[in-house]
Amino acid sequence: MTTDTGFATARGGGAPLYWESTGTGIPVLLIHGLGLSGGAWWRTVDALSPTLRVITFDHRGIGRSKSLMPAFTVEAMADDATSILDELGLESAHVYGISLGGMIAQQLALRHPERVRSLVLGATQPGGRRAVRADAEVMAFFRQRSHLDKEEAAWASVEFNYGSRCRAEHPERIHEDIERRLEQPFNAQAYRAQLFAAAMHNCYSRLDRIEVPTFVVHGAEDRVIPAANAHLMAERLPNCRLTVLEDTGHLYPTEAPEVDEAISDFFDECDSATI
Amino acid sequence: MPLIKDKLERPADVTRVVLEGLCAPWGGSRICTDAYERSIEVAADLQLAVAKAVSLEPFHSLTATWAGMTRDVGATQLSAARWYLDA
Repeated sequence: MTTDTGFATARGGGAPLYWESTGTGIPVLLIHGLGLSGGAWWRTVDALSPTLRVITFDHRGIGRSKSLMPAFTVEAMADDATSILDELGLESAHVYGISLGGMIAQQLALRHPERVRSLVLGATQPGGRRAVRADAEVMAFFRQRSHLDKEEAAWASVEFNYGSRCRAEHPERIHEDIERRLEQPFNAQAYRAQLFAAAMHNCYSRLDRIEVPTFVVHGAEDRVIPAANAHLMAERLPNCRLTVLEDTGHLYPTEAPEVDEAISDFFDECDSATI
Repeated sequence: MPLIKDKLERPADVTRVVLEGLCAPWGGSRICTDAYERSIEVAADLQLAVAKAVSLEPFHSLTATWAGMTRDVGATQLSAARWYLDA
């Protein structure tokens, strides 16, 4: 299967944003989380691209995308996502965000509802006063991460990002993830800007305005964004399905890759319902 | 932890009540924050339209960057306001 690549221009500032598009069919825009490039979606791209057109991109300042600003917001990154759709000539797409990407996906659905066919919110949180924060050890690690060597930071994050079952039974998957991650340059400035953006994210009181079908997926053992956040969002979202994966941590696409099939089925159902 | 949380939430609750009171004459906090959000969007879109219309540098880049800053500063203000207003 061939992959097309290119650059879009970010709205309001003009930084180039790198994108990749794999497969044909109804488009799905994948939005990744903190500090990771679009390449981190490789498992999901392989799973979804046989039936869908799967689009990934590097956030501003990450991977091959540039940023002209030292600080930015989740709203800015949501606008970046629409710049990618504009560049590809797509009126709308299914949107699947994980972690920080899920926060961006919420903002995208609120700021540009006409661009979102359906929404998958993975391992993410709604922001605001009610959001359940990670414990102090996790927060301290993520604050210090930008000062660590890239490889050291990647391995140190394993105990927070992956559940105990995956660490015990599938260490090879974690190795694969980290090898892929280390292929991309790490931008400490952009990472800190993303941390600020995530801290200021706040959609909780407006989730009831998201009308598109939404699928909330979360690992029950997630230490980075506790699973209680998935329940908070599911209570507020009017058209929502919730799946909590047992014995699974934050990076569930690695730990429970079978969930991609459920997500693919969800997109199929949404498309069948709108035809 | 519960003690720290209590200390933090009491001033937040006071702030919420004050903000709700201030917004009441204009239809409530939700209407006010939505209106402010809309005004930010309009301002940023206007700045972007000006930037698109004028290709002269550095005016073009400065105006486009200013539009992004308008959006981001406004979004940060709204996020903080909504944090206080969430009951």
